[in-house]
Amino acid sequence: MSETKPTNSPISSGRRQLLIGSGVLGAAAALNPGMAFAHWGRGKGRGKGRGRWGRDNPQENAPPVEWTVEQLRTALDQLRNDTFFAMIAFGVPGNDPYSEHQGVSTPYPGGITTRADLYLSGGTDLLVPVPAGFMNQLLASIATYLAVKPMDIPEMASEDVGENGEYLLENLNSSFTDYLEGEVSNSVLVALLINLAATRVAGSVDGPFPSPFANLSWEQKAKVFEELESEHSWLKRAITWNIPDRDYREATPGVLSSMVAFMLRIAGFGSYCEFAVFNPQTREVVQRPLGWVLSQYAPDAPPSGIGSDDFIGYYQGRRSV
Amino acid sequence: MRDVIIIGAGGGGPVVAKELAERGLNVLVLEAGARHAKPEQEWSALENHMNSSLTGKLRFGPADPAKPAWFRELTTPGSFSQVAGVGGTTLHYYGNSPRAMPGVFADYRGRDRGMYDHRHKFPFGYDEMRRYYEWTEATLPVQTAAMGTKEQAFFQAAEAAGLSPITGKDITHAGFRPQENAILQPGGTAGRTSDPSQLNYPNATGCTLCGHCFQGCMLPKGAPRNLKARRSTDNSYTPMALTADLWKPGGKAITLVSDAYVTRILSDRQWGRRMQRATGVEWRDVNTGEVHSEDARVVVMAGGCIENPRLWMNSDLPDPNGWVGRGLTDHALDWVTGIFDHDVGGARGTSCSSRADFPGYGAIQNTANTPGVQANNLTNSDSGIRGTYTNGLGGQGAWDGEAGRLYGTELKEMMSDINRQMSILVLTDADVEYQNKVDVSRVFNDDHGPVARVSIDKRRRSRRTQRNRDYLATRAAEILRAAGARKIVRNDWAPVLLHLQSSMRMGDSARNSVLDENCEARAVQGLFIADNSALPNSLGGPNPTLSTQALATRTAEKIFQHYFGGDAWVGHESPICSIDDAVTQAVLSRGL
Ligand SMILES: Cc1cc2nc3c(=O)[nH]c(=O)nc-3n(C[C@H](O)[C@H](O)[C@H](O)COP(=O)(O)OP(=O)(O)OC[C@H]3O[C@@H](n4cnc5c(N)ncnc54)[C@H](O)[C@@H]3O)c2cc1C
Ligand code: SF4
Repeated sequence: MSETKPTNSPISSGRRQLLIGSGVLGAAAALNPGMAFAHWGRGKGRGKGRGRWGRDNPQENAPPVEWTVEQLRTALDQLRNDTFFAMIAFGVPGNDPYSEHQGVSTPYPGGITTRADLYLSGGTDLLVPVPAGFMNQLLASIATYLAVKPMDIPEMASEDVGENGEYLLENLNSSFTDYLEGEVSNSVLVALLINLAATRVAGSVDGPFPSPFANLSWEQKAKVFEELESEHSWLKRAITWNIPDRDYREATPGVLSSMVAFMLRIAGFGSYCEFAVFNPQTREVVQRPLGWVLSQYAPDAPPSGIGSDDFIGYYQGRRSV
Repeated sequence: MRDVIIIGAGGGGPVVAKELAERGLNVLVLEAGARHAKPEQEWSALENHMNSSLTGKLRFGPADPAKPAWFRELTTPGSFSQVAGVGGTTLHYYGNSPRAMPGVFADYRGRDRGMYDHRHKFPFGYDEMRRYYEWTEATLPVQTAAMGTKEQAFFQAAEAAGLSPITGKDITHAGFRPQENAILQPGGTAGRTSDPSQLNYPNATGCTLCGHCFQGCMLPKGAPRNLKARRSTDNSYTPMALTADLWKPGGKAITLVSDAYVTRILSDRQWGRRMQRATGVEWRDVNTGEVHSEDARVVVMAGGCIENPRLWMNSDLPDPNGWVGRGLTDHALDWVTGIFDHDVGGARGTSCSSRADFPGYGAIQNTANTPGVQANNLTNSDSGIRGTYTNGLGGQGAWDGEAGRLYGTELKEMMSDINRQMSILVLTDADVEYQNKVDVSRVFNDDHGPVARVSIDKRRRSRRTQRNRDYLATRAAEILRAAGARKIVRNDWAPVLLHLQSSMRMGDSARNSVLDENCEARAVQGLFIADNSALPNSLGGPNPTLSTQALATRTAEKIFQHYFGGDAWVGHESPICSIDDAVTQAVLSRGL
């Protein structure tokens, strides 16, 4: 095979860690296993090797896989959705598969049923007008950092990467580079960072979801945010490690903090506000939002009240001082 | 050429506008955000629709909802709660209108004088300020808040915790009280029914206790604009300014242009006491992108604590002592919540109608919340997630467990009955510190130039600020405990930037203030500031708007005296109230 092996630009170890650790490879594979699994797969069965990325079912003569940017975009959007579902289940758990998988669920619905994930991704996209070029610099910096201080992911070892597997990764890498040069949403960036932190916290992450973060237990998810929030987090170090532009470098920790804080708060706000059932034409909710049911707010709504009979009087009868 | 151009129609700008319109000056007000002319047709009572900082009607952004909000960079963890549009951030505010602590004024001689930020006092005395308070309180008007379920629960709790009531407007000792609110007391059916068919004006007057203050006040339904319950400046000072010719002999209505973003203050170099002289402004029509300019004898900045330093820097105005944008205070807010076995009215009535004041430390207030906002508040923290990690903080004290955000099932349980929650907002008497600042971003630009960049590092606050905050959180927890709370949680908020003060501070020393004792820029003649940024300090903790408005009234007088040869009026005339029949008739006849 080696003489027919397609060639591509070699991929650095840091970049490889980034692609695998942030869930890019997993997402690409999940979207179209037929393509990505030419030589790559997530080990099945139980025990050692299960859920690891690596050469699983080598197929001779599998055609080389070309990722288009559009395919990758779709894959990453799905990764984002998966990650955000997991985020909402973390904040406001319910009776959905993400809550159940994390080991913290409730017998009645939670944030996912309100589609707070949509609120979260829409909001993250609008939160910071990240300048073009910034994402690329930021992710490149992480890759450089990971080359120096690699994560403890065993399947990073080169022997785990099959010949065509390596080609796939290289191909994915070049599509990813093209992708980053185009329009990249903040929400995808945040999802990648959260997943990277998840991989870093938990090593190779096994489970039913493409997003490493989604496969964690609730306690592990908390560890991810401990990492993301920490003043001295490795991710803050990594993203500022090698950003060539000094102004970008200085702005990055603040941008990251805003996004992380937003994620944490909006899992709450999005789950309890009226967003999912709002009708802009009538400026009213079409039904009582789930968050209102969960919090026993406004039992008679809709419509929203314009007054209440809560008036008792004045403290000690004083109407003025 | 205008007599006066005012930049910004928020908490402070409309006060100067109305006062000078009443004196017959030719005043132009430029507001970057929306006009909000017809709230009953444009707004709702819904928290995301109205309050989302990204897409809500009340956001810091353009009127056109299809366009993104205006971004500000934050270098340290935190979040903004600021609004653009006629009314500015008072569209969100709760109307709480306490006076400042007397201890933050130059003439204070009380035994506790060492307890305050003594390096950054008001450059004049409390007695002088009282005149302006009285004038402003009569104009808005400020009234004693009505009591509902949550206020009654708070008063009982404060009594049980051993506090005594404060019964005057001046804060003379530690104690609790109903808020003095810029909210009209309920009249007629208001507060007595939830039946919408009975709640139209004039059957209902004043506050209907609808519970949606954060979403902007457009009630009672059908009331003329100046008779809406809450006295945000879109309902109080702005309608007066737009009709001054009709209710005041010799008055002149202002010109108000919304969607007008001022991008530059025009100035000439000059020789003399000040380095430059303001000559006018340049602004951009937010909808069309057209740029306009106009000259004026006096320019008044009232764009708020964040935009003023940005505009100053983008206009290349001088900053000889390096204090432009410095000394920002934010009351170092915190959030303490108790959960009860019985209804304590957690989501009912006005957003905030009761408080306790602690001179030398700050204040706390009981706050009602709608569910999204409350979930947002409970999930904000600088101390990690309770029970898992603390970010090196997670202080323990009179509350239960470590401080931190609620998450997962704990959040869900806490949120399971919003009316059984009592939340207390901590307003810290925070020090003016040079390191807390607003300047301009090196990375982010928008149509109006480099955006503002805010740095307020909670972990590097002065020892006094941190001590005060902890003290108040403890007192809040004690009150909740005395009321029988089953569980008490302290969040240890990351900064929430909604009470902002002193980023362009006035002061008695040319070394550490931008403005002189008249709120005129030390470096630029004819340039005044009349919003929260002009305040010299954090007022000792009380909510800032009344003090800003009183100070803006004083500034209007100074402008009139020094630039237009007029006389002072506060103390010599009687103020006309914004709900006076003459104003109502003027508002109706002008179709506002
Ligand atoms: C939820 C909430 C509750 C609050 N409750 C209270 C309370 O109960 N009591 C209290 O005292 N305070 C309260 N506050 C704070 C209060 O809203 C502010 O103190 C007050 O609005 C500040 O007034 P300001 O004029 O400094 O700024 P703002 O009110 O923010 O007004 C500034 C205005 O200037 C405009 N502007 C800015 N730059 C430009 C430019 N370049 N060109 C044109 N226009 C420009 C902005 O669009 C804005 O409309 C609350 C705030 C929030 C968010
Ligand atoms: S509670 Fe009163 S002041 Fe607040 S929005 Fe409703 S009517 Fe207005």
